[in-house]
Amino acid sequence: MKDIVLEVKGLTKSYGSFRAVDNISFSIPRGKIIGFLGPNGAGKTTTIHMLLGLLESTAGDVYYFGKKFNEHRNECLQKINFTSAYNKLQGRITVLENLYIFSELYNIENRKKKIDELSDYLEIHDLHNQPFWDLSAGQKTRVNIVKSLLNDPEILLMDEPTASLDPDIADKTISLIESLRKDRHISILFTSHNMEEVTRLCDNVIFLQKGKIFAEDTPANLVKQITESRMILSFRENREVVESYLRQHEIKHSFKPHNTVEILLDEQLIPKILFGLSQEGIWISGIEIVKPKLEDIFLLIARNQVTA
Amino acid sequence: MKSVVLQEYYITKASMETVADIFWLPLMSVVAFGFVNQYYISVSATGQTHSLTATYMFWEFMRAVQYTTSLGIMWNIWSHNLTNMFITPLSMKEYFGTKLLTSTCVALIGITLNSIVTKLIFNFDLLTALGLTNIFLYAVNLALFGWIIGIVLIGIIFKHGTKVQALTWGVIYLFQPLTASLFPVKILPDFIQKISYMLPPTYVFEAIRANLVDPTPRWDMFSKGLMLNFIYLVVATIIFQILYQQSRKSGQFVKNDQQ
Repeated sequence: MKDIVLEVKGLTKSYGSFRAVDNISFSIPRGKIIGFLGPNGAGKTTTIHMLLGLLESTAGDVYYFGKKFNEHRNECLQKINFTSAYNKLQGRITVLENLYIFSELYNIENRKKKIDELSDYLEIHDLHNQPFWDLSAGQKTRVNIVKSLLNDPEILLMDEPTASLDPDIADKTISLIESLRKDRHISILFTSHNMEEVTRLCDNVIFLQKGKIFAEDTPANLVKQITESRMILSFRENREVVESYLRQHEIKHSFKPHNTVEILLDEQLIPKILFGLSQEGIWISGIEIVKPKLEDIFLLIARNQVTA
Repeated sequence: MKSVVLQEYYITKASMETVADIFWLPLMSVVAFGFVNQYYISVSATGQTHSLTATYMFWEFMRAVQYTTSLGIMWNIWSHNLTNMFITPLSMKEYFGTKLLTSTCVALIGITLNSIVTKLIFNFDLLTALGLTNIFLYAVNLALFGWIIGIVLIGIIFKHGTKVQALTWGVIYLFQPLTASLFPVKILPDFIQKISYMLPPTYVFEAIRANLVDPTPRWDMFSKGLMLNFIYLVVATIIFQILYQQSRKSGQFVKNDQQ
């Protein structure tokens, strides 16, 4: 219990007869990054809003550091923070003025030193005197992250922090989150629609579907649920022979332009298929094997093509 | 608390429309009404010279308190910063308590500025005409009522979102005739007079007109206004709590930040 930073028990949110979040339970150990995934409308953001006390739950309890959130709200909020691509700071006032306000709200001692330290860490010193709304999306994200670290949170809730960022800035943001965990040992609940980011960052992943937890495991174990890989073969000629061979062996496939065929199969069968096609006199000019990724699991869940 | 003061200061100095609404428009209105009043002075001998100027200055004081109280939340909604504010240890109680102080300070700066101008242009010295004690008594009741209206409006905005944001600057004008701010209550029809006497500012504006003839503090009017204010404060707090809870339950509180 001591190392559990956040524990959620039976959390539910109903709007009339519709259950946006349906009796979910999970916990986040100290220093771990948990991916919170699911298609749009699955209940991720609704859950995060309940975890922050912004939305009243219909049932269930939230515990931070072993304490019931409803009963120890201020104490808990002093040690948690939140950043989202969709929340902004006051637009007309400068970055530094915004950060001063939040350092006061969190009652930070030696606030100038803290703001300077974090500004160095996220390289936003040169933005201090700019109005927040003059910043680019990437700069706003970095300033938001500085805001979210002002109170040295023990747990950080991040709702799609890289949404609307270009790949370069998104990559830098992910590197930053990696270093946050390494340097500060912060626990993070992380939502994103970018499965590569989730695979790179998260120790564990919780998949939500229609308000319920559909799957919960490490990214590697989740990917193992898909046994089939994709093999893309290019060949010189004799498409009919290739097609006939694949049909004969009941192998799922689809032909692409320029004498290319995409084959879905168990990885262990690859040598056998390649050998078989060669025996049929097919000259294979290119082979690409695409292993299943977290994104494939995401798509299967979103399309209801996999069972829990 | 310091954080709310800081935010108030930073936003006000960065927002021309706020400066205009709080200082410039009231100043211009006071000047205009001052001229109207001068006309009345020349054609009547009621003894209540400058009553229109004085009551209008205090009307603007109350309006500034209400406007500043409500607008603080609107700035956070418009900037998508509302949820950031309320996921900190800041409680609603602390927020509104501080808002009462900051909005009263802003309104005091406004009325001070207006009184300097009326002294220079119309030779009407508010402090000399009414005395510091009376001004303090008026300010207490008007600030409380402006704050009460502000709290209820914030509750309505939390519940219904920015589609009703015009109430923030519009609803106060409903009380301008009802509280008999610019003329004696007796001018109003009988049935409206009954409503007027249920509103705390009415006692303030009546006291101002009385004190321009006799500066003896009207404790009777002050206490009636204060008593009504406390009743309304309790009612407003309950209404706000209900609306706030409903907005947290329906999800509108968070949606306000995403609109």
